[in-house]
Amino acid sequence: MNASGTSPRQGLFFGAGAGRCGTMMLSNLLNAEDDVLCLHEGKVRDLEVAKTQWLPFLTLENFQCYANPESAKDVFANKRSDMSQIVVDQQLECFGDIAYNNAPFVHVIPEVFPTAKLLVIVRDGRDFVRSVYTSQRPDPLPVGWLDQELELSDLERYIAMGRLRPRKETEDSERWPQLTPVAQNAWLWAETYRVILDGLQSWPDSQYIIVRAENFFDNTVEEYDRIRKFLGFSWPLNDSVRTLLTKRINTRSSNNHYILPKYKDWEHQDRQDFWSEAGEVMERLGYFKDTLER
Amino acid sequence: MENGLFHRVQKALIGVLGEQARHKITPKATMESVEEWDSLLFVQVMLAIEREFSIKISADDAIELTSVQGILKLIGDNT
Repeated sequence: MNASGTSPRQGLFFGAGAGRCGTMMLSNLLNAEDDVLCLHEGKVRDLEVAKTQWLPFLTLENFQCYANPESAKDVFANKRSDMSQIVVDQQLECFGDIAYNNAPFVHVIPEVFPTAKLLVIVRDGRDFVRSVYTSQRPDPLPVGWLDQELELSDLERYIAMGRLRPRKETEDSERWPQLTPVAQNAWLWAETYRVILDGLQSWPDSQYIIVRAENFFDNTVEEYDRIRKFLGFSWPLNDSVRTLLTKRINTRSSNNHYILPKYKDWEHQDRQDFWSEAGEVMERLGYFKDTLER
Repeated sequence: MENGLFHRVQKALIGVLGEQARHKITPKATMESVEEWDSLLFVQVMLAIEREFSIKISADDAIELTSVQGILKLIGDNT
């Protein structure tokens, strides 16, 4: 039994986003809270170092359940069946998993865990594309699509096999091989959020919030406070959390690995490709062409 | 299930995961039940199955490679 005497499933939460949007930083912060276990893609991270794997991978299931959404409920219920027991065994107030690969499951989470809460973490698609299209070889945290002729490491290939790409026999799948990495990553970003936004229709308004990475990076203390209130954390910040709030976790220490310049310096074709693939979702999320000319 | 087919799969998996994994590679084995069968060796398992059975596995079918039953199904579908 956890300290507050709540039933195990009351304290579950999930985070979903496209990746490279502050999820690791947020999961580290939440995991540093007393009586909270917050995983990042099923595992505990000590800053950027992966530690204990508490929950089974959803790496390949990410694409499998995107391609076959009707399979998502069974897969999620099966792969996350241990969560309630972990809350009890570890005497937790709150237990969560923040992962890019929660996106294809957003529409079924309320069926599996009716009282769970959801953090939808969004970031401007232009910054996402720039961040994931990297020259670092091999990329230790691969998130996006790279040039197709590159030879990938085994880890990169494994993750790529589960990454969202067009479903078979669709118009998008026909044109996919001809797309540039910029266009493919714009598609990846847009499709991830399209799936999440559509999935939110299954959620009561009171059980999810949108967290903008831009706000989270620029006003970390205030935004983190809002997240804590949403999750029902009524206890004061401990020293570990206070320390982490002063750090920027998982920010690449330099831009040396970025292939793309800042958006204002993108080639015309890259801009055109980006807006063609991601324009509709950018607008749905409140990111407009004439803003953030960075 | 054809016993011979399972033993070929088992042999291919042991070649990647090591002899110590032999007793864990049963017809019901999965990535989660075999400690050595992790994400870093996933692609090596895929390549070993492709070589042993002369098949090409697409990324769309990769999910089947997370269990022995899935691998047997994949081989059945491709041979």
